[in-house]
Formats: sequence, structure tokens, C-alpha cells
Amino acid sequence: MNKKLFRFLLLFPSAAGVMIFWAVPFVRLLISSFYLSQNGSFCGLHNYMEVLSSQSFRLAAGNTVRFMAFSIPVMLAVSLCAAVLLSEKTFLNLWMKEGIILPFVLPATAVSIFCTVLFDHNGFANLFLKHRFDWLGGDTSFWVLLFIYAWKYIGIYMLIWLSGIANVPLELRDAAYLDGAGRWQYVRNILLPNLKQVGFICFVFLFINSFKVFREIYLITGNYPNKKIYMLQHIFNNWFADFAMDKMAAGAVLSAGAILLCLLIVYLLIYGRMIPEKILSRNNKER
Amino acid sequence: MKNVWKPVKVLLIIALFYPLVFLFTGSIMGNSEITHYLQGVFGGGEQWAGWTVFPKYPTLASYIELLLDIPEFYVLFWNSLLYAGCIIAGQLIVALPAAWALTAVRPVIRKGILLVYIVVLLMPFQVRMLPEYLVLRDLNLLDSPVGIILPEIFSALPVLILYYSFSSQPKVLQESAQIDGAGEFQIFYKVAVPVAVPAIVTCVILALLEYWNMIEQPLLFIKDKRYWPLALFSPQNNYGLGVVFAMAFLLAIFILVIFMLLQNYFEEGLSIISKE
Repeated sequence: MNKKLFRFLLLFPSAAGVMIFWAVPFVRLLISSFYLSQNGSFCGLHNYMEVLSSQSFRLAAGNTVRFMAFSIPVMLAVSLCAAVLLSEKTFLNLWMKEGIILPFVLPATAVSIFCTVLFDHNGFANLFLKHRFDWLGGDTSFWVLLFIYAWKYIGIYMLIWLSGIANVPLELRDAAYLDGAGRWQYVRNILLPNLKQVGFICFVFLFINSFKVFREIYLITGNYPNKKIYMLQHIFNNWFADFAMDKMAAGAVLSAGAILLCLLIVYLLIYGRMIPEKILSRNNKER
Repeated sequence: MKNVWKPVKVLLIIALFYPLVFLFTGSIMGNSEITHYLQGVFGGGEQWAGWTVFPKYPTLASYIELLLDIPEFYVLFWNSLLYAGCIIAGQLIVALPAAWALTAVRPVIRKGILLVYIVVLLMPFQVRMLPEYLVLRDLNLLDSPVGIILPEIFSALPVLILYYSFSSQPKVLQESAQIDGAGEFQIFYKVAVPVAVPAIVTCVILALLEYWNMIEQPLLFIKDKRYWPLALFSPQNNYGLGVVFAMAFLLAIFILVIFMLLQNYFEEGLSIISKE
């Protein structure tokens, strides 16, 4: 009994903090999204309708989804390739690795200065093209943003993949090579199937962190970016400035629901198939 | 084949490290030289940006100005350090015992708790913003550094990382300590915590990079600019470009040194996460 009490006391601060600052406020948010904040009367789905019919919300949600649709696959693939290519620990590979992680470690100011000089109206990219191209103004702003974001964060995902690769037993590799498998065959048939779980972790982190792209946009273009890179965080900031509590509540619940649903689907796609397999293999063993 | 790859790799390495070199070159240029090169970018006007490898008149004037003449720099640097330091320390104080306790809770309860933590972790700032604002308002913590620090202390990420690290430790370790007569508390801080050092370092690094560059929360919850972190400081409005470069370079080196010192632990810690 004493021991149980002790464990409970250890868990208490964290659980209480999560309750006070996160869990309970979320529930409150969910409830308040069905009421009008002005007079406190129940209004059903009115707030949701308002948010969904708002032009700027649709623009922001569309941009955010589009950004995720491009950034997640590209970054998963590039960081995986980098990790596989750099998994041998040679001198040059180690420096390459450091170089790829570098922007992740650089403080925000440094990144923003470098990118401003690179993509400005009179910047290096244009100097190279000998043409004053408006990188951050027009349609290209989205791709420039994607590039900056990928450059900055790819290092950490490469490290996660690398740690996954390091966990794949070396005997498997030696056995594959002995059986006459080429490097590509080894990567495809041995390495990748073993990295499924790491891949899911990378995906989850990419998914959560893709909302943080706001920082890069803010540092480079300030509070009022171009239409193509107007993200959900921007519209929430605008609502916050206007004290549009109803819209914020409904918008937050919608975002949270979409995120959970999306991750659940991916989780089931990856692990759903594995559950029947497990049951099958257990049955086989029993026979 | 290998001979072709080597020069390509060397070139790539140079390209990848170039931003750091660029900041350094800028920081040791005199103000007039750097303005001459980057007038078109930061000053307005229509000249092309230019650059050089070695400044014509290398000088440390920018560093001297930054370190001796700009009091805001210290105030904001201190704020950033305070935010990151308090959050990291708080997270560890709260998360270490909690993660340890979680390993011994009944599986059903544990799964429930873990699920709550994971869902909390998945929420981006835009979702947390209004609830966090309302809580801070009720607790009267708006516009104060405590309001920035306190919610982040209860972040779910360190608890999860440490829980996975503790639960992957071999049971034999703790059992043998128990046989040697160690109490519950002794097992925790003499066996479990030292073995979990890589995971702890991973938490520290992730938190450091996250909160050092924190922008959203202070931007919304803190009106008083004295409490702003360094990430929101834009000296280009009031000071010369040389100072901006000097500051960016110093901060980059500061964080880079911390990271490199801890990198081995960090990679080890990541591999614990990727095993789970």
C-alpha cells in the first residue's frame, strides 16, 4: 500500500498539470464550441457553420493541407534516402550528416537572415538568374517555403531514420550479402521492412511539426504573408486579435478532430494489416 | 565510381556549411562594407546583393557594439535563457518521477494515461491557443513569463520519451538492486535515472531547440516587450547589419556547441524512441 501511494505521489504533479493546462481546457473548449460566447445560449452547430463558410478559413485550411500533402512525403523520402546513403560511418559521411543537421540547430534569426538574402527581390537567387523574380510574392512563395522548411528540419528526421537503421541487426545485412543480394536489394527487402515503425514515428512528428511552419513564415514575411502561404495559425492569430472566441473554439475542435482522424487512419493502414498477421502466425505455431 | 562521389560529397559539405561561413563573414565586416553589399536587400533600393569571401577591412566592431552597446540584447538573451532553462528543468522534475511511476501502474490504467498524453502531444498550437489563453487568464498569468513557462513544463513529450526509456531497461537491473537492499527511491535515482541519461539528454535537446526559438506563445500572450525572447528581437530596425550578423553568428555557435557536446547521447536517445 505504501508503495502504491508513493507511485501515485510521483505521478501526481505531471497528471495534475496535464489535467489543468491541457485536458480539462480541451473539454471546456469542446463544450463551449456549441454555445455563443456573447450570451451563453446554446446554438448547436452554428459556430461550426460560421467557420466552415468563412472564406479565409477555407483558404488557410486548404493551404495547410496542401503544405502537408507535399512536405510530408517529400521529407520522409529525402530524409530516408539521406539516412540510407550516410549509414556507413566514413569521414565524409560524418561531415555530411553534421551539415544536414546544421540548419535544425541554427537559431531562427540566423535562418531568417540567410533566407532573406537568398530569396529577396535583389537577393542571390535572382542575381544568379539575372532576373528580378518575386520569390515570396507570387505562387512560388509556397515552394520557397517548402524548400526552407525541408532544409531546416530534414536533419532531425534523418537522425531518427539513422537510429532505426542502427537497430537493424548487422547479421541480417551480412547474411543478405552472402546470399548474393546487391545493395539495392538489401535496402528494399531487408532494411525497409524493418523500418516500418520508425517510419510511423517520423510521420507522426512530421505531421505535428508541419503546423510549426508558421515560425519560418513569420520570420521571413512578418504577420501578413502572401495568400499562398496563409496558414491555419495565421487565421487563428487574426481571430485572437479580434476576440472571435466562438470561431476559435469551433476551428480548434475541427482541427483537432481532423488531426486525430487522419492519424488514426494512417495508424490503421500501417498496423491494421499487421494484427491479422500476428493472429495467423500464432495459430500456425499452435498447430 | 567512388572517385566520382568524393568530390561531389566535399562540394555538398561546403554548400551545407556555407550559411555558417556566410554569417561569420558578415559579422566581421565593417558596417559600411556590409551595407554596401546588402543595401538592395535590407535597405531598399535597386542594387543587386553582392558578397565576398574575405572582407576587405575585417573588424570586430560589430561584436563590440553588440556586446557592449546594446542592453536589449542582454535582456532578451537572458529572457530566452530563462524560458528555455526553466522549462527544461521543470519538465525533467515533473516528467522523470511520472514516467518512472507509469512503468509500475496497472496496464489498463497506464494505457489510458498514455493515450491522454499522446493526444495532448498531437495538438498543434492553434488548437491549444484558446484553451491555454483562457486558463492563463483565469490564473491571472497573462503578460508574465510564468504564463509562458508553466504550461510547457507539463508538456507530454518528455513523459513519453522517458517512459519508453524506463520501460525498455532490463528488469534484472532493478531486481538486483532490490536484492542488494536498495529502497524504491534509491533504485530510481541510483539505477533507473543514470541508465536513462541518453533519453534525458534527448528531452533536453529537443526542448532547448523548441523553446529557444519559441515565437507563437510570447507573440500572443506577452504584450510587454521586456519579456520577449531573443527570437522576436529584430535589431535590423535600429542597429547596423553588422550587429545582426554578429548576433546570429554568436547564437548559432552557442547552440551548436551545446548540441555537439550532447550529440552522441542524443543519437542514442533517439534510437530508444525508434525502438518503441
